[in-house]
Amino acid sequence: MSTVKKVAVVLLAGLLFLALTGCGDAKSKDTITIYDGQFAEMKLIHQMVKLLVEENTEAKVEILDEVAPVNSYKELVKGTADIMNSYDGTLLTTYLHLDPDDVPENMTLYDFVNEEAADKGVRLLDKLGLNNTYAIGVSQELVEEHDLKTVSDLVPIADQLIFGAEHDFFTEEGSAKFNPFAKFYGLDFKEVKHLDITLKYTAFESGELDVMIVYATDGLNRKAQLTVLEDDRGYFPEYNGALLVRDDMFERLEEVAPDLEEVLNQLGGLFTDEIMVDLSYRVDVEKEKVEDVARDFLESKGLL
Amino acid sequence: MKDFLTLYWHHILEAAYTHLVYVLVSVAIAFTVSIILGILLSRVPRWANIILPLLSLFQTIPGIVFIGLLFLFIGIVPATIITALAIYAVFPILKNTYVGIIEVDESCKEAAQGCGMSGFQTLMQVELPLALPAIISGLRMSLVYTVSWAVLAAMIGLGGLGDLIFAGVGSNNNYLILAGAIPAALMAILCSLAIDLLREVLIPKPIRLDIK
Amino acid sequence: MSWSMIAEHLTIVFASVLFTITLGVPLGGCAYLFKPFRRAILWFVEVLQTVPAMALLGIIMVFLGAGKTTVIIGLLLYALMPVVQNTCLGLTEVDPGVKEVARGMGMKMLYRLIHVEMPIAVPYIFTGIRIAVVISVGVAVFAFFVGGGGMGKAIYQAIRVHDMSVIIGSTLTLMAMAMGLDTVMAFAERHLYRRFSPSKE
Repeated sequence: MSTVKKVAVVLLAGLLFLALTGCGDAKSKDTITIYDGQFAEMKLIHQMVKLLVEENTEAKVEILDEVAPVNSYKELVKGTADIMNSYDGTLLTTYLHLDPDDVPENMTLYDFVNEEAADKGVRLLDKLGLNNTYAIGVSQELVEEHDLKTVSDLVPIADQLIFGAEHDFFTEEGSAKFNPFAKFYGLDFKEVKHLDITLKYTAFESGELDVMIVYATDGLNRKAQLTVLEDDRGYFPEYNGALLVRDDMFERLEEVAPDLEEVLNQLGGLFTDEIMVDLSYRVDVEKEKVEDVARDFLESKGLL
Repeated sequence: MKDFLTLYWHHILEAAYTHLVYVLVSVAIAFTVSIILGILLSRVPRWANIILPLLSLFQTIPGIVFIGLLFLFIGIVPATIITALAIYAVFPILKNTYVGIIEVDESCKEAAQGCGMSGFQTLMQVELPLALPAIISGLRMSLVYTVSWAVLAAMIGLGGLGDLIFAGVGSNNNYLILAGAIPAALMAILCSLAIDLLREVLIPKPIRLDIK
Repeated sequence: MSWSMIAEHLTIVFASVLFTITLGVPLGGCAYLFKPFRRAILWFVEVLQTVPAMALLGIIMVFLGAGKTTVIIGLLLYALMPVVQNTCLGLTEVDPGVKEVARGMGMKMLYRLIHVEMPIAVPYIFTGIRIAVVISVGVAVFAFFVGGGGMGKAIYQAIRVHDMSVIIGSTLTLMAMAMGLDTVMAFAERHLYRRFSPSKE
């Protein structure tokens, strides 16, 4: 008879447990919260933040689940996260829904977004030194065959080439997208494929794509041995890597980490695109642990 | 909202069309294959006890893996997605065809033989018609699943409604997600209603009552 | 792939099945008690299962954002059908004689449902739960798509860096997970049917 009751009690207990554990805890005075990123670059930067902060201050850093950048940003604005690795171009276009055209003449994109983001309670720290912008990648054979150096060099042969990129590069809104880009350079490809970001490199390596959109600092660029063509007419905005932080974090952690901002800014100017390609290659292709690569790098720079 | 539709309506229609073509072609292939296989298996039930569990095990392979691997071998051509979808669609129809035929009442078959029907005549005029309700419900399952799996066509650059869903998730655009998801859901529901209709038309009332 | 990913996958599955049961059994009970709504309820859960998994997750994500909550709610809705159907079926199949006796003893409708009919229908309900678990293991792979983690994430990332051993390893793990849970629950199910079969009493 009581089976049903027992089952009901177990179920209720389970639900209660889920509800309790599901709730976020209150803001702690000594812990920095970060939602991890999905790709090697973000994971590396987050790990470096953890290593540096825990080495130089009394504060603790907690790296939580991997989430998409957009969601990491939402948590940051909500106040449930404190730091994320981001890019000034992404902050401008994806998060603030603005366009490079909105940046005033006498201002850099970086300064402009920092001003615009202020009322969300977040800001960018010093630039890391890398520029993870969109880049046009082609195979080495194609480079040799047609003596390609710049994106403009593609124009005369575009009608023989297949272009590929992830789905969101083809949406109608925004400027760093396929249609405006192709129009700007006058590129008319033989075929255009929208495919998943995970399969892009596979398709490229098996010769299904001739030209593809990549991120400049992706370690897989080296694995696929692709050559990045110069954006000679400067179409794509810069995507300068920088830590995006909550402004109120510094005050909250005053007691345990009075010089937190200086500690974090040790990462400023530490990277170049090549260094980041190297580091993410080690994680993605050589399967080294994120933590080991991050520690190695900071040690080699004398920061640990 | 209105701006969005004016910007995207032709994308949506095109994607829905591609999606539907993938679904119909692959289910048609799967249907033909599984009817033939189902009949063959029903002649040798011993084999069925090995082959059907193996196939059901295969169904547990996630679509992203199977389609991702098939793509390595065949490339970005519609054949890749159609092959993958057809393979996934075989199992429900095959299983129901087999079970449907096997479960035909022994006395019916004996009666048919008593009337002087050959084995082939018994199959065509007695066993298959009696198995039809089961076959159709298998077809319905396959069709609905295939509409669902076809979303993955976009992953390997072959378009369909998944294109809009993937783009929407990637660019944080809710309208785009819904523009892919709602037509996909509607397509699945309509397909299942169409099969229900087909059932009403194809199956004589007495049999329908019998299985209810 | 790692143990933590397997654990994460199972957590998602169990959490969602828990919710499926809490929602599905009462819903099945309602479908049984209120005949006019029965068709509507059964139709509704069937339609839910018709919606493509990625579309369903995408729609929920619009409202709840990415993450585990979205995945768990998606799975809950997706796995609702077998539980609701089987609960309703199990209750309908209860021996009319037993129902008659209970009514004769003056039990109220709800009391009867909870104390007499539900316990008898337990084996049927369990079958529904078993189907729900197997469905959930498979559909939880799509969690990768809305940032929910689990085995889907391992597979997705392995596809990105083209790591064949992880792809195959994770796939086999998933298959084993589905099969293992199914086998264990099938065993429990047989036990239940035996224990609850009226012939014993």
